[in-house]
Amino acid sequence: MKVLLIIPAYNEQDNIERVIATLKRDCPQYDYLIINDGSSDKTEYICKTKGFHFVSHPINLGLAAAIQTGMFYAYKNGYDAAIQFDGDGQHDPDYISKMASEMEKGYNIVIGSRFVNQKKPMSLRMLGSNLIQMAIKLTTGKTLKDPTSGMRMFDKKMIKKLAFAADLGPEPDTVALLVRTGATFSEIQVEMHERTAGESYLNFGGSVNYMARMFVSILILQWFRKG
Amino acid sequence: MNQGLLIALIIGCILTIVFVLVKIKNSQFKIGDTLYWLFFCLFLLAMAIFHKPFFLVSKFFGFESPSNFVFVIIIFLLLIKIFLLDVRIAKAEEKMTRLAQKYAIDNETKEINE
Repeated sequence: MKVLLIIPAYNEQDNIERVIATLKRDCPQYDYLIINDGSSDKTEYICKTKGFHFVSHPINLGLAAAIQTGMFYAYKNGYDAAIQFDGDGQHDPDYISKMASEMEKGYNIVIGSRFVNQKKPMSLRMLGSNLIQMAIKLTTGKTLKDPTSGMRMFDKKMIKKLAFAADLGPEPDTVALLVRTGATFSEIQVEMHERTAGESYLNFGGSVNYMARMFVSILILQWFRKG
Repeated sequence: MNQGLLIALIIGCILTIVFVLVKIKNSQFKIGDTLYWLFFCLFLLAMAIFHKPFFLVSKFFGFESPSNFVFVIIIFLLLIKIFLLDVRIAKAEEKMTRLAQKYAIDNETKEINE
C-alpha cells in the first residue's frame, strides 16, 4: 500500500529535523511530505538545506488548508492512503504500519486512538472529548473513543473528498460527517507524546470556541452539508 | 417624523451619493457594487421627500413613530449587505487558499538523499 505521511509544519524549526529523522529511521518504507504553512522562522530553510521533501505555502493558510494541500498531493500522485502526522513530535511513527494494515482490512478511515483499551483520564480536556464523543454518537450512532486524535489515516476515496471539498478540516466534525455519509472507520490503540517544543494552539478561549464550533457543526450544521 | 431627521436623511443621502460617485471616478469601486449604495440612497431620499404615503404605511404596520420604521428598514438593508459581504469574504478566502495550495504543489521540492 502506497502511504503518504502529511506533515503540516508552521514555525516548527525546533522540531522538524528530529521528526523527519525519527520517521526515516522507523518507517523508511513510507513517503512523507512536509507542508510548510508560510512559516516565518527557519522551517523552510531547514527543509531546503537538509534535502527534505516539502512544499511551501506562500502565505499562512492554517492547519486545515495545510492538510488539504497534502491530500491534494496524495490524490494527484495516486496514493492509497494518507495520514496526518504532526510536525511537533506528538505522533509516534511506530503505529503507522499498524494503522496501514488495519486499513487493508477495508476501512475508509483508521484512527490512532489513545482510548481503545485505556480509560480516559479525568481532565477538562477529556470532558470536552467526551462531549464530542456524545455528539457524534447522537448523530451517527457510532462510538468514536478518541474523536480529537489528530492521527487519522484516510483511504483513496476519502483522500479525494478531502482534497476537493471546502471546509473539511482535520477536526472531529469532519470525521462525523464522513461517517454519517457512509464511511467506515476503525480505531487502534496508540500512545501519544507530550509536545517537546513549541506551544499548542489551544488556550482557554480557543478551547471554548473550539467546543462551540464542534457542537454546532456536529449537531446542527451537519444535516445541511453534503459529505 | 420630525423635521430634523428629514433634513439629516436628505443631507446624508446626498453626501453618500457624492462619495460613491467620487469613488467611481477614482476607480476604487466596481460599478456593480455601487448600484446597491446608489439605490440605497435614492430609497432613503424618496422616503424623505415623499413622506406622506410613507407615514401611512408606517401607521399600517403599527410603528409608534415613522422614524422607527425608517431605522428598521435601514437596519434590514444593512444586514442583507453584511450577509452578502460575509459570503463574498468566504469565497475570496477559498479562492486564495486554492491558489496558494496550487502554487505550493507546483513548486514542490523533491527529497535529496545524500
